[in-house]
Amino acid sequence: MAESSIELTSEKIDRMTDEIRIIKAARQDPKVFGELYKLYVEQVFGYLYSRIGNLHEAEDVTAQTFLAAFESFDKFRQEGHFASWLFGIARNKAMDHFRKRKNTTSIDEVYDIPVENDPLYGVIQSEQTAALSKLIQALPEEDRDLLRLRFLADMSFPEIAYLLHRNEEAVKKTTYRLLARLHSQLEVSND
Amino acid sequence: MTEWISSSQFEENVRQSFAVPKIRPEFVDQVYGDLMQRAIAKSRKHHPFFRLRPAWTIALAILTLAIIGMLAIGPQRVYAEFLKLFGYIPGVGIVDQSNPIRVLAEPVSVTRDGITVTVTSATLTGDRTQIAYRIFGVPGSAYPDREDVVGCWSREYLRLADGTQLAQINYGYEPVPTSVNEAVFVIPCIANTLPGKVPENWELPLRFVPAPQDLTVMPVIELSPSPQVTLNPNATTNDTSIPTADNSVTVSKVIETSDGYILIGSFQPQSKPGESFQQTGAMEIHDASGKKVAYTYPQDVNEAINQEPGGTGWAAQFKAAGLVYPLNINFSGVHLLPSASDATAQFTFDAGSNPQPGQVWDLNQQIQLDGHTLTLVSITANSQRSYSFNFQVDPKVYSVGVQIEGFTPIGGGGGGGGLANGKFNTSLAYAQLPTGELTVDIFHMVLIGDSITWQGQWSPATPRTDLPANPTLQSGLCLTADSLTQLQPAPSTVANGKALIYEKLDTGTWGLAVYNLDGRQKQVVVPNGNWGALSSDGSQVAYSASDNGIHIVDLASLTEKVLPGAGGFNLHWSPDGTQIAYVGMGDGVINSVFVITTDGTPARLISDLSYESIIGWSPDGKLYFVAPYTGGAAWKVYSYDLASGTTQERFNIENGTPKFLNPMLSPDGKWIAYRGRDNSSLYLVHPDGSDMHLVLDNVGAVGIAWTSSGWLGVSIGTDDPYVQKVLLINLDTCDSYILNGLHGQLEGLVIK
Repeated sequence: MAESSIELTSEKIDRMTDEIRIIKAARQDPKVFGELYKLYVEQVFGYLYSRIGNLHEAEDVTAQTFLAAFESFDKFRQEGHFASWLFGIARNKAMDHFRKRKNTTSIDEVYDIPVENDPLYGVIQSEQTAALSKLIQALPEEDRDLLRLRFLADMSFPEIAYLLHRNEEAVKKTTYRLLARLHSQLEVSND
Repeated sequence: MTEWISSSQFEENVRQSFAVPKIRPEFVDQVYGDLMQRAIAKSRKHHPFFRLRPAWTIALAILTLAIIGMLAIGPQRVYAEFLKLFGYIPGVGIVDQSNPIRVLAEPVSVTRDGITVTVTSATLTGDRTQIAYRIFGVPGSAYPDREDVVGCWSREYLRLADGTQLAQINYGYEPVPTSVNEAVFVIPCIANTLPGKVPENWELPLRFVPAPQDLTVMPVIELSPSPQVTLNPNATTNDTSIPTADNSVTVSKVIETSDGYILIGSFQPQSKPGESFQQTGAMEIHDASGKKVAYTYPQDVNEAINQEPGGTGWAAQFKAAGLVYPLNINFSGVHLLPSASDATAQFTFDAGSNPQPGQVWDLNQQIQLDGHTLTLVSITANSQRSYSFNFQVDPKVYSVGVQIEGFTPIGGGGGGGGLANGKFNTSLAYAQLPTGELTVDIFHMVLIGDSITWQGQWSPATPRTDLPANPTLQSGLCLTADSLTQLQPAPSTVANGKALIYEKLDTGTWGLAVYNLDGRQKQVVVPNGNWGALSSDGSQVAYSASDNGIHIVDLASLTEKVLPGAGGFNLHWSPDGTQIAYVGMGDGVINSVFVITTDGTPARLISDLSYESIIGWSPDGKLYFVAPYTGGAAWKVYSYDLASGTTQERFNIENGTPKFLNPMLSPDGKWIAYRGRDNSSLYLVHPDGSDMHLVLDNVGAVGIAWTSSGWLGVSIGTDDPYVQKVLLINLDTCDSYILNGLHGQLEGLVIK
């Protein structure tokens, strides 16, 4: 299995502490922005892939997101809310992407029909995740986006609340209600 | 329904269900390089003399050495050496063996206010700390009684003597340093409990010791390169064309267990430009003789599965005795094809000036698109500024695109028409919900094409000599997944009685029907209800109605009565038919045991523990029930003496499923049958906890019912989620039959 020469070990570090340290360093030296990139590139890609459904287009929008974040980093002043800021950019870039595409109104087509040859085209690996995937696809878009932000973007509830301009408790409750509902539907379909 | 608290496993499943492929390292490096070029250009402008701090210098030096190492040795070799460090511990998973493995010296319990928290085991390896703990005795009043209220969700952690906190990571907690043999396990609060209701800040001192010599650690064998695999990319399932070499299905890891293997691999269909597929069934494994290999999904190797490229990992654990190699590992699916034409259709609907969440427009609009008929059944306004379009389409249609003219959505999704009985739903979300007269375009139809099967093969490098070709069944085991195919239909002398079946009725709703055991004389008793219970004489059915009330239907007259004041599920008739035990809610209890007499006297609470299940009534006047531990997938069995009103704690069920245990006491009071941890097997145990043993191994057991004549009825799942098969087993002789006329979940059984 090929591994990037860039270490992708963001899960194992205390992200907040490290992030604040890196943000301060990146203000002094733009190259340190690369560390923020390493911290977030997987999550941003995962989030965008789940919205766009095509590997190459998701990569393209991921690159655009980071380049835009890098160029506007000087204007970033929301200490402690870097993830909210970054995923705000990612969401805007995704919307730009849909606007630019012809017939972009339903993600059905991009979920199901990769535009290009895509060897990594998402396929479900188990019966349970297949069932779960179907349930999630049937959710309203805002619910689905909440799950993406929480589980693909790996954002904390305060970060999501900040991004969505919602109350943290409300975000948390909505998420867990959503999970409980999915779990319950899954149990019914399994049993 | 049992309690549900979000687990990290379920959250991981949600993550996996998005099927996001692993990010390509080349892409990561490319963007990083681009960013660095820009950064260097920016640095030159502002910071010509930037100097690295020592920490960064060290980090970069390590990174450089790693890169040089990779270039010099080669990534494959580095990876292969790395994998040699791993081993598999049943119940724990694949672990790093670079450090000596340590375990918990002894279980640790703390009891406060009647609640007991127990750390039952710990496994310390180089990459993580695995802690198993469970909680018992949390009163129902501690949990929110409304869906929109969520209790505490603080994460537990390990605290070392120097104050260091080891947080949860994906599959456990951060590793405990090898020099540290003590830690405190801290639970800030019991998950989902309300503030102030139960004690908080639980601290359990743990002590770790070297793992015993007999700890089972099985080697994890890496297969690299992957064995040859095959694909018949354009063939239908009946096609016999020569397969083409391909890498759609691969096996990457093998673990040799005591009675078989665990295989871990990935499924990544190789595609041509423009091709797309939809998987249509679960993975199947057949041996070289064509025999279907029954497998289970080993939950404890989830981490390895998730490391497979593209997030497309799979795993299977199976017994190997008698298998003929190679094994064929198959995934089935269909091609998805864009409609050949650019046909579009259009219609309008009036959403009004102020559409409300939940508002439904029943349209039944027939749409012809490129020779296919689509019916837009309805449109629903959702609470989150989106519309759902609900279609019924012909079986060849997979999905269509939908847009509302003049409005740009911010997202949406759906699909799966012909693969889901022609129904599918697609939604469009907007920053602001469009209102008024709206023009809707239907376009970009996707059709379901040929079936396709992806196939991989695997053989062990060295044939096993330790497994008998025809193993004898262990004592008490009556049926295995393999022996199911040899079952004979029940003779008429046995199949003489009635069964209560929960099934999808002809009307499309799920309800309860009573059949003769030959499948004849179907009598739909409850068109829309569940949790049925057949009285011991077969004359009445009690069920949980859609309003949660408990109703009783007399099968002869079809008259129905409602038990006043009773509401719940999991119904069990008393042997004399005068009382019904059920699980319900009341003041301060959630899903606890109640008993009500069928003449309607007020229900009485039997136990105030929460999320209980009833086992059944014994002939000596006791009611048996179980209460779950929180975490640990264990249950505590109790009996309640109706005459004295006393409750007795009996024993623990440690190998049952946490999902739907479905425990059932035999009418003679001698056996409790319940579903195993794998959600598929069936176990028996005496009510005093003795002689616990496996009776049905991995057969897909779901519904369980006993007869007073000693037969055990079990319904088992099939590949079709709407269909179950019903079996009869005589436990004294293991004589087993199939009731071919019954196809749903068994809820009650009477044999004359």
